[in-house]
Amino acid sequence: MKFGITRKTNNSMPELRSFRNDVNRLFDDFFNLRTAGLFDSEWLPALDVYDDEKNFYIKADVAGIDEKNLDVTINGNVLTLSGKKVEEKKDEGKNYIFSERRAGSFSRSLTLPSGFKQKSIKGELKNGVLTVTIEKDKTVKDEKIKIDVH
Amino acid sequence: MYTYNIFNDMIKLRTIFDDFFDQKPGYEASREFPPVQIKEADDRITIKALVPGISTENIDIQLVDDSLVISGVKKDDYENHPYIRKERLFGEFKKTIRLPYRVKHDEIKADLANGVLTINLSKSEDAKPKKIDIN
Amino acid sequence: MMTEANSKNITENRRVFQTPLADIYETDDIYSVKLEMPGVTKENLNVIIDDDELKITAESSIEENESDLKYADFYPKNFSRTFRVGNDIDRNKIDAKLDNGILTLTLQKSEEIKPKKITVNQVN
Repeated sequence: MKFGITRKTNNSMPELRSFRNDVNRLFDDFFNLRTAGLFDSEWLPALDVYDDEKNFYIKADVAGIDEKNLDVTINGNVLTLSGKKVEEKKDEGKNYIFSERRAGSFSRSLTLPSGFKQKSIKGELKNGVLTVTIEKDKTVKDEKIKIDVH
Repeated sequence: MYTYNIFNDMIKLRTIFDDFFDQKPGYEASREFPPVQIKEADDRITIKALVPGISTENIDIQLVDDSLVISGVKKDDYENHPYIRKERLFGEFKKTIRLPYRVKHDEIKADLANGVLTINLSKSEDAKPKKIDIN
Repeated sequence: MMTEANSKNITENRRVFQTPLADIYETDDIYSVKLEMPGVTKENLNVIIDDDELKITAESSIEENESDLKYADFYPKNFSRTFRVGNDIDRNKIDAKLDNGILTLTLQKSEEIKPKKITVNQVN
């Protein structure tokens, strides 16, 4: 467990700031992803993460993947997108001038800020884009509660 | 005069204090568990010992000559689950408190509440302060 | 998740604070915190959860009168300790029991932390 001084975050939009930091970190620390090994993923879908008043949104480019090969799970605050792009059989007869498209499995995880409703998370796959929608939880969580001692 | 210290099984010579008029012979207790406080009034001695989580059947109090012996066992309430922190100490304990006064052996009262053991001892008649008339 | 947090309490009393010893273990369903606080009664004990901090403060009921004190291994002090708790506990379901100087806090883990799979709806 961590010791030491714990800084209280500035209360103006703490969640969104830490969320943005998490996403930025995902892009910066490319080799330090919190997921089960970057080296397990043969490719990574590009992500867009944004929000509005009501929800958080995560859009991932997953063209060529069927819903049955896609997994979205929520574990506490961590949202994990994973899946498998099935490799197309390379035609014997065709002459490949350029072969850039990759196949294989991927996994990306994001830590969501704490103000969200877990039961509201929805995933939609359309035109090769997976959109995960997470409803924000506006209820004030930081009320003081006095606990009765018996 | 000899004092018998139960812990070491050694006989310890009790020294006579030089400044007889300034200092009464003091109390002595080992540094070990439980921590105690000793208060003294004209007619009694009150000892408080901190024994959180120990029940009466695991505490033994005895008067041995003019020493009070508090002994027993603090049982480990260990549960078979992963511990994030384990700071509390457990085990058998024995503490001897050497009393500078004689006390009435048949007038000891002990109470246990909120993890504090309170022992009240009555001083023997000859230990109480008395006014002496001067002719 | 449970970690230590620095107490930001300002002493309202002349007495200094002491930190009660803690044993903390976890199961699939709960966190259990046992604190040693000899001399503390229910009336002098305060347990609150404020945002992500679980704060325990208490006054000792042992009298401070020093005039007849002849020997002391301890001096009565007030108790204070603060823990940082994560999202994985249900803040409304914290149980606190005081028995013979031991405070036992039982924190229920919330349903929400168990992993869940989200259904992906394929539109085309």
